[in-house]
Amino acid sequence: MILSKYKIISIVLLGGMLCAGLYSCKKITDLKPEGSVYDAVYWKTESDATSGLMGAYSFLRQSQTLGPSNMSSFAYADFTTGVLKEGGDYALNFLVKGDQYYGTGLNVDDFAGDYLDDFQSWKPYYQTINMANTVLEKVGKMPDNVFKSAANKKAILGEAYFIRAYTYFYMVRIWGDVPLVLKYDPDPVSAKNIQRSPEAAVLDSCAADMKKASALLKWNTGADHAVRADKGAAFALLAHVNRWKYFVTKEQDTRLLSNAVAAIDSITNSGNYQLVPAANFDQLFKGRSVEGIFEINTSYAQNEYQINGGFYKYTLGVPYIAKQTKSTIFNSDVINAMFTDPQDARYNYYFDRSKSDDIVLTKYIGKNKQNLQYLDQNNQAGAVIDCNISVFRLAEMKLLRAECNELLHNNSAAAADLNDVKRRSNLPDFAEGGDNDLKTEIFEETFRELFCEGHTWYDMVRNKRVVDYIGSDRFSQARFDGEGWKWPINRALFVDNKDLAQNKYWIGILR
Amino acid sequence: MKNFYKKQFFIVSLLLLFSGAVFAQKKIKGTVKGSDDGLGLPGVSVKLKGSNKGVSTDNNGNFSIDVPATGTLHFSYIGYESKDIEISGQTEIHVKLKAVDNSLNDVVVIGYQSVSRKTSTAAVSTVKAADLENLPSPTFDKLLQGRVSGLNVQSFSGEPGGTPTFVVRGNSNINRTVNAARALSSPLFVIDGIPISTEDVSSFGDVTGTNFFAGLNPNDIEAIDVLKDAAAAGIYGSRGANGVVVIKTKRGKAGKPNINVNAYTGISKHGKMQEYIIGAEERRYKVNYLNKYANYDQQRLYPQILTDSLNPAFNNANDWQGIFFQTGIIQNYDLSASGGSENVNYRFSGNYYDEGGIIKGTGFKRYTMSGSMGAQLTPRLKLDAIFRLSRGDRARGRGQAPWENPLPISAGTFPTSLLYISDSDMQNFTGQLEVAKDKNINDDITASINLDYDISKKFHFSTQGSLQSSRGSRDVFRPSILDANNNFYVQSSRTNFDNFNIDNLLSYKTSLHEDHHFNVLAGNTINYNTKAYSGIGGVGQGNNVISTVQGIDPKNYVLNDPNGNLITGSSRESAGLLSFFGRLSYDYKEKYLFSASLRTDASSRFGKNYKTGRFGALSAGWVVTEEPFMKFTENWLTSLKIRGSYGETGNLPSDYYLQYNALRSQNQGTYNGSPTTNTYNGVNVVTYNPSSITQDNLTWEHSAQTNIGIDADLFKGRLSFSVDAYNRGTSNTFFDLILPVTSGYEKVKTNAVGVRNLGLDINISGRVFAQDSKFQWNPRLIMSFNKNQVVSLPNGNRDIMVTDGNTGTTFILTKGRPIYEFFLVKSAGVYSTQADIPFDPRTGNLITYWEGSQTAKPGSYRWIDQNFDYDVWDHFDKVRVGNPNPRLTGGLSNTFTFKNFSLEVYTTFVLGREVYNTYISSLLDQYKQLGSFPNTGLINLDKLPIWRKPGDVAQYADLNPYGDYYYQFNNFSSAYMENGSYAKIKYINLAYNFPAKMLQKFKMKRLQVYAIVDNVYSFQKSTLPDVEAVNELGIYNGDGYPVPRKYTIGLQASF
Repeated sequence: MILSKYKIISIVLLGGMLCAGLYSCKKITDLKPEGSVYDAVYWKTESDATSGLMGAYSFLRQSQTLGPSNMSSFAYADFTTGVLKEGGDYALNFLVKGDQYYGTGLNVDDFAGDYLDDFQSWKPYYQTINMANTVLEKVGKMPDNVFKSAANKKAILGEAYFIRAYTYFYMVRIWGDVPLVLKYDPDPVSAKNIQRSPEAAVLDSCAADMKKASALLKWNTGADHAVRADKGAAFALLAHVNRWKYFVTKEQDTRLLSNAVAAIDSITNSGNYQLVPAANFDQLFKGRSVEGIFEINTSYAQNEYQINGGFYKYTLGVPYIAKQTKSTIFNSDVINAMFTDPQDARYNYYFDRSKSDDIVLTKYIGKNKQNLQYLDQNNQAGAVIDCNISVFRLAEMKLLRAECNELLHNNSAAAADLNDVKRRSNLPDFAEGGDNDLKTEIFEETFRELFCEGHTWYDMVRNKRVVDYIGSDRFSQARFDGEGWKWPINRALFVDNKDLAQNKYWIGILR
Repeated sequence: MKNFYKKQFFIVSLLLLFSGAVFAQKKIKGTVKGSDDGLGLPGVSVKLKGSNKGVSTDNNGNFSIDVPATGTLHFSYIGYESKDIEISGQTEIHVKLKAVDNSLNDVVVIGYQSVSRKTSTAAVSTVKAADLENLPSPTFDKLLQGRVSGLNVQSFSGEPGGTPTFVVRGNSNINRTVNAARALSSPLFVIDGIPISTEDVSSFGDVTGTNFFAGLNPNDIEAIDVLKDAAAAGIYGSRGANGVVVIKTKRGKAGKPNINVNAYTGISKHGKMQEYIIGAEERRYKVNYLNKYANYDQQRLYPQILTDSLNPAFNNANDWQGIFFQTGIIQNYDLSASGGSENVNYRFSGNYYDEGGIIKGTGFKRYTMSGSMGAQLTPRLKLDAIFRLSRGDRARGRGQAPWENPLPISAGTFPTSLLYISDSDMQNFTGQLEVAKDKNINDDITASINLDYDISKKFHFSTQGSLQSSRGSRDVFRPSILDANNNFYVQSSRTNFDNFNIDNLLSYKTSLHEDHHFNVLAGNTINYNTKAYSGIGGVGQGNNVISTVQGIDPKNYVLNDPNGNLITGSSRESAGLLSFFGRLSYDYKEKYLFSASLRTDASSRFGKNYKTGRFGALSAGWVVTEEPFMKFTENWLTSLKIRGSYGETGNLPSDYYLQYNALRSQNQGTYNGSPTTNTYNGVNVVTYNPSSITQDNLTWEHSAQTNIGIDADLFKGRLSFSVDAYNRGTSNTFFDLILPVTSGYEKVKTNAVGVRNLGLDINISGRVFAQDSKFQWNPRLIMSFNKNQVVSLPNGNRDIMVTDGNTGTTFILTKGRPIYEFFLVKSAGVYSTQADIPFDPRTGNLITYWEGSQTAKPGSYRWIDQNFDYDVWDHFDKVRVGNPNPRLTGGLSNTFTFKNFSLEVYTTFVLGREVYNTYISSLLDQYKQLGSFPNTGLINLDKLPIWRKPGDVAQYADLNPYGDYYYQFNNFSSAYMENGSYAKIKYINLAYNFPAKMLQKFKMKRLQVYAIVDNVYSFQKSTLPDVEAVNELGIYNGDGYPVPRKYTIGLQASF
């Protein structure tokens, strides 16, 4: 009797353990991550959509800060233009001095030196594009009623179009033809290699995207003005895309120039933008001014600053930044040749000329270090130059319109835009019969106005002035004509993609 | 050893006495003792032959039985040879039983069941308590080196509480990126029934970095079974692909309380050290060295550190090794009590282990307490409970952030001895700086309850519920004096790893017509584990008193360490596994053996298409010596068994949520050069994860293994050997597939690779002298041959080159070749004279390096031009130059006993592998450059085979600091490959057992004193200080923790 009692107890006990186990079985093999979101539960609310869009911006910001000292947008556009004598960093000096300097005998020229791989990688750009495509797909399929207003959803889509198009535009200017991915891929595991699309087609896609974006977006004059793309940013990019296409299509189709002019007209006609007076240059370069059209946000106040490297900090040292040695030296000859008029507000604001052979760029930190912040004020440690990375601004647009109008032979309209910019810096109006013709004057004014702002190389290329301004010893006409201004496609990409073609100038030069 | 059998196979036999007999009875008393140690044997069955009358001996081996005056008494005891004694009128009988050394009488664990070795069809190696006892190591894993055939353990680091590599039957892990820490596959460990994968533990939340097994006192272990083939490991299904190691801890046994005291102490010293030239001698040497090469102008430009001998900043004589290294003290104390009655048994033990490291500021302390209790609740229901607590406290030294390296500076290249070291730096270097802290605590709790119920004589049910919970905590404080920017750093991290396991087993055992034996097992296992992390860390200024995270501005929180591990934040992950399994074993007369097992696993770690996996194994054995026709070999061949098995097992990914396309929401605003941030324009950022894609089709790593083995026992246990040959093909190995750049994704983990391991495990042991000889010599040789090869690669089996990010050395994966062969420019010495240098017959130009930028000279390395373009050092001139996978590993143990003395000499060896010395290459690289030569610690260059003048036959190239520098000493050439073979006298153990008679006066059962020298001597060809101290990929960089030599003495007493 006792035995059977134990028997019952133990069977119940054992059975209980077994059942408890089996009950939780279903659950136990179906566990979901707690520390991260995943596709199946995301893209449900407006804040999901907004955060996803910020993801695209974040990738975009990342793609502007590649390579040594984290400043690729300046490395591509300014280190290649001869404005520097010393690039500081070993790899950056390949851009400043050309590979010959190092005597490795490679003789493959400036864009292919050692350690320039970071500048040749496509990875960050396609990550940006994929994120933009993901936002377009996922947000596009979200019902309107989860957004506070339909305009919010449209704005998110428009901004995603902008980010995608800007990234393609950026790549086209560097590599020419690039693979064009315009669709979200639900199954990237089986993604195949795709070939490069002709640069004109890529630019067409950018233009089409900007047409959509300009319809979807509104003018934004709010607090996040300029750091998030709006209608103005879309028009600015549209103008640039048209101008670049005019250049790469052998300057055949002047309608492209008219399109660019029309896009910029939309910006100026909106009345939302004004040139910032020269007295407030510090605010202009800090960002979010009334002149700014699109900027990459690197705000100190929002803890999104760049502390390590970055062009603004990299080109400065003591006495501007405590305990920091400056590694770059600007080419005083170039600066003196371009900035000739001491009346020019930029002549003094952009530069510290106290050492004639070592002019310091003060454009961003500000003449009185207005834009300098120290994380640790007491010890003067952790210096941050609190300036956004400017992409498009009104003066830049005016000069681009002047450039297009000049090409369209609308010289008076061109001169008007040129003079707007000149007057802001206290320069006299352009006068025919001076040292420069109108075309050259527009180019040089652009050079001055956008000095070290991530534009000059592209301005030189599309105006075909690379050989003149850099010197045929460094950059031959034959190289320019052979499209040697394009960067080579990274060797690593050929490893997994047999059908990829190298840019024609580099075939046979690079192994 | 003999003592062990008693513990292991203690059985109380209860027999009912029938008093039907009418003839004269008389009482016989006596004792039964073991012939080995002369101690009484408890529980020996004493039976009157021809009746069912019997008793068993008490705890001291005494018995008394009423029997007729004539007859025969049969004494039997497991682990001992039975004996028959004629009563013939005796009233007192004293018997000595001989222990049998026949391994076929052992039992082996084959997963959820123990079977006798004789009827086992599986390849299982067993290591017993006696082999591991009292060796000065905090973890059992290091002690298994060379003890188990098919198991390769390499303890490349001597850090107390560090983790060795532990590979069963060859590596099957293969990766696109080389991360030495996880380069090799590791088995599943099952400790007292609780399955633990070290990958799960280390892949996450392992803040203290302490060996996971450091909480388990090796002296608490009763036996370790290594399950190698599918017949054994198959029942562990999805987790058995890389072998299973089953560990059983000691239990109490019935009898009088037995108290065991064990203590040892000793010292730990640095082995052979590199000799550095220091102080004024260093300065003189360096100046003289430069004088040999420099011209007059160059001589004027010597750096200040060499010329300014009066400057206090430069006139020091730091012996860096002297600063960092010390003699460590080792102490270990064990106390255990065990005993029990017929229905209850218990064992309690406590342990304190303290090993001081040979690097100052390092060491490991452990406190453990464990208890186990068994109770026969009813004649059918038995309860067994275990409870174990341990605390590990590891001091990690004063390395640089994230402070995982024990040394604050790289030992690979010490700086010059001339530099001044500030007081605070010196205190920090030596771990003396009181305000600095780095506290690493591991607390482990293991609890398990096991219920056994005999439903009937044939049916048996058991269930076990267990919890194993590990908590790790790390508290770091680095005062601001140690920081160039004058910031203090503080961090507090907590991790949990909880492992719940429930096993339910139903077994059925029956025999048909006496000769057909069936054994059926069915069961299920539910395993659920969670790992969680929470922590906070940050930098701040001013405070140097508060050493916890207090009042730090949130923007100064450190979110991740330099390796990308989470510092500030929390996370929690869990994984579940539900399994059903069964096994059917059958034998005919214990002669023909068959076994089949099947297991089904469902895991939460896979996507919806492959949640469930099925794994089966089949095996058979033939005990040849049971055949009548083998009668003629009876005299010399005690037993011979041939067995074979085939089966499948799997492996789980270490990532719990691989199947989810997890979006990234942490720190995604961060960009190049920015601090970690989660916003763009102040709005939270969420991005897709470029290295994670929804993977509904991801499936188990799949391993199919064939095994053929022979077990033989000759001359009644005097010689036994066991040989196993295996072929294990692992397919669907997890591998990162690189995706086209245009997809925006970087890589995806897929089942893309296949690896094969072929090998031979040999185990030979012998007893040279007869059992009753006073002098005994027991040699044992373990050898494991293994050859691994890649059998399939993604992308049409295209070769894959991988680079070790830490050392820059490249490896190659090629179909048909071993995993991770070194892929380097082949270097064949140094050009001795101008005439040795080859030239291009087409142009007459001498061979050049680096696309023509450097022309070879006398004193240049003879790099072999593989593509006949007369230029070396581009991608086309790299070839396979070495294989870091050992071809043969093993151990040789020799135990000598004479009367009460015993001596064990234990040797381990690795033969046939190549290792790479980046230590010497980086030193030469520093010496070669004028900029770094003065600042680098100096070893005697005269002793190195360096080319100095034409005609020198040298191993290393010209080291003239003023000569051409073209990275010739970097790690891309084979100039630094070395032979990685070694044989090491691992330890010598001399012990003396006090005679039993003498001890009886003190009421002691046993008293042993012993002395051990650990890591005695290494025989090797390599120039490395210790060729075992290379990492998993065969690279020596001089920066690891040297394996110390330990001298300990101890005593063990039982009451």
